[in-house]
Amino acid sequence: MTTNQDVIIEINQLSKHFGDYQALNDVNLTVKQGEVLALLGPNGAGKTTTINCLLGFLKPDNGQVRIAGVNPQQNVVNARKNLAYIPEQVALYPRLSGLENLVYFSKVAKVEKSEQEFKALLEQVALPAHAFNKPVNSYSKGMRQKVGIAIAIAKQAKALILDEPTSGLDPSASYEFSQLIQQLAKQGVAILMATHDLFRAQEDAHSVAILNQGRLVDYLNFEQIQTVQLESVYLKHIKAEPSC
Amino acid sequence: MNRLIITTELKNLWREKLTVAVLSITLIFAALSFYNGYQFSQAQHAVIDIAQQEQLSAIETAQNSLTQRLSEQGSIKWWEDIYDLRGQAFYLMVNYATKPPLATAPIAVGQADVFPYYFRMLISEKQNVVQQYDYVNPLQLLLGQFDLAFVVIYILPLLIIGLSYNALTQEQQTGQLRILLLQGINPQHLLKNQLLVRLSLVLVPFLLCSNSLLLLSNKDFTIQNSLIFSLIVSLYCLFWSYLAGFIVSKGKSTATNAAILVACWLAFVIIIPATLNTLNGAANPTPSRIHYVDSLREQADSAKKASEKTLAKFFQDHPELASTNDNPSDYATKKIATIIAIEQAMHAFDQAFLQIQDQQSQYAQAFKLLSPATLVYSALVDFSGNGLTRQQDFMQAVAQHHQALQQFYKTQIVAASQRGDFTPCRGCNARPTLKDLTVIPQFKNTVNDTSPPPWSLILLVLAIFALSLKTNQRVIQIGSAQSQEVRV
Repeated sequence: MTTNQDVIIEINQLSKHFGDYQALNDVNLTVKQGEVLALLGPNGAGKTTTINCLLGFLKPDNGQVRIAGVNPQQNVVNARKNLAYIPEQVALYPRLSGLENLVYFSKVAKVEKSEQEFKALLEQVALPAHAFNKPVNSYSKGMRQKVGIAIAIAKQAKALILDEPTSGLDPSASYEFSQLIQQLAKQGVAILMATHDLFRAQEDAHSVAILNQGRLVDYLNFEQIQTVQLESVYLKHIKAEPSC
Repeated sequence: MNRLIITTELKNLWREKLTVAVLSITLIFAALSFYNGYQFSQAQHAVIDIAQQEQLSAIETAQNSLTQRLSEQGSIKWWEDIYDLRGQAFYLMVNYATKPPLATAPIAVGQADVFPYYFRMLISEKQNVVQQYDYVNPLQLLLGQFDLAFVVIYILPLLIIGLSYNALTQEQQTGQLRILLLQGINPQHLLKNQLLVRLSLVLVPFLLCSNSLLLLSNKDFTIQNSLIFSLIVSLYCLFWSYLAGFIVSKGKSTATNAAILVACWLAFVIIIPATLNTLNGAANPTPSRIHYVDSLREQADSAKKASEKTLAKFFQDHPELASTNDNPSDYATKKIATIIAIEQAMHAFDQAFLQIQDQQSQYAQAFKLLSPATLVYSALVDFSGNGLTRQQDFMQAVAQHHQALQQFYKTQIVAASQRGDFTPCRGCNARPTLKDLTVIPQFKNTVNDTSPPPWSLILLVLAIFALSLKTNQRVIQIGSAQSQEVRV
């Protein structure tokens, strides 16, 4: 049983337009503690705009978002304290090692740990030990994603937002990534994952939201996800409302 | 937080080949440019030392040989005799006016390579001694000597631009800034510390290297000199660093930032000074030197032709020197009278040159405020003692010394002539009329002071402050929510 207190990511009647283009139109969503929500939609559907509003980089025209009860428009610093974010391309300092990147990004967030503890975090995300002190520019995309997750874990944020996290990963790396996401969810982190990867969405998500042309066109809970073929549901919505 | 950002930035930059290249270039250029400036000032020192030695030696030789000279009965021509007033006055006097380089001279040669820094004085027309040089435009920055000032003005800004053009924007473009902002970083702190580290990578090695060399090479170069030099250079470099911050805070691409910053460098360091030079030259054209020389010859010919008339005029102007002697019109008195007549006739021409020089200087003083490069260059050249102000003081002192010598010989020669020391000519034999050479006026160097940093540098401080304010306003926007365009 969940209560309002369990809701970590809250999107209420969110609308945003850029000039004549309506990027988001009255979108409502919630992600609870320990829940993984997959946000699906074609390019231009409004996924990134939603994420930017959640991260406090974009002002909504109408509606509001809350992260652990804090509206980023009102208190961006506190809202971001509860938030971790992993983009499609995890942007690390290429000449620093994975460990140095983890230490730097964590200390910026005022996370104080010993070097051993930071190494333990990298071990937790299954980054090979020999890579800890190698410069990140020698890492594969999967390895960089792991460092990104380690940064998110170190921050102990209540909400994690992922933007196309498995794009470009090989199946094995994608699977490993998926395991890490599940681990975080079990630890109680609310996860919102914008993705095109329908397979991973069906495998990992506890709920799925489909956006098209800025509107939330469908929402599936865990039981519904188990009983439908996600791809056909997705395509039905996208074809029904062609993006022209 | 600041320490964390600085150490990470240093670690990150240190692993980049460009940083090592910049450090190496800074150190090599600092050492080379110091060596060039030092060699120049040493060469001036050497020439001045020889001149002063020659002057002392001449007095000493005269003192030692006086007894022998007085015992000589053979005929010596007066123009070959160091004890003859006329020989000393017109041919043999060893009397120098010098402007020794200061301890700070290696910093900026400035226009010291075209300014006269020593004169061998003679009692000829002053136009032949002190008025024979044209000053080039004092704002002339192009084609300067490769000295520390050259490196400061031209090279250091480029190195600072080379390291700073991608501060913050690199993170903005690659996505690190987005994560850093979500981790709670203050973008103002990030940019400020990035600029500080990148500036330090250029400024600290340069100041360490150049100050060490200046302190080691000259015991007169004081800690105070070192601090003033460091202050001027730091202000200039801070200006470029803050300008880079101002440009990158606009959030354009790194390539655009680099292009804008190089355009700023071109404008401030090359185009504005060159334009100001041209304007100054056009507004205050120097009178024709050929015309001046022609006039000098013409006046000299006229004065010589009207020899008796010139002499009469001389005694009319100097009644205290006139006497009842029947034959004062010997060669030496006539020559002195002719010299003074030529000087008087040339006065108007000299004034025209001086007036133009003054106007050019006034324009230069005003124009230099339009570019940080000209402002700082002027401060460095003045501080090094090779600037126009010290040179003008020196030239004024030389003119006064010339006048003192002229007065001394005029009085002595006329008196000797009236006593009949030079008559009859007796085949132009010398007369020992000047037995103690120490009575000849010596040049007193009164222009040794180093100029303090000019108040106009406050303009640079104000510019830095304004850039800093505007940059902070822009950067704070980067992390906040935007209405239309996400900036990270």
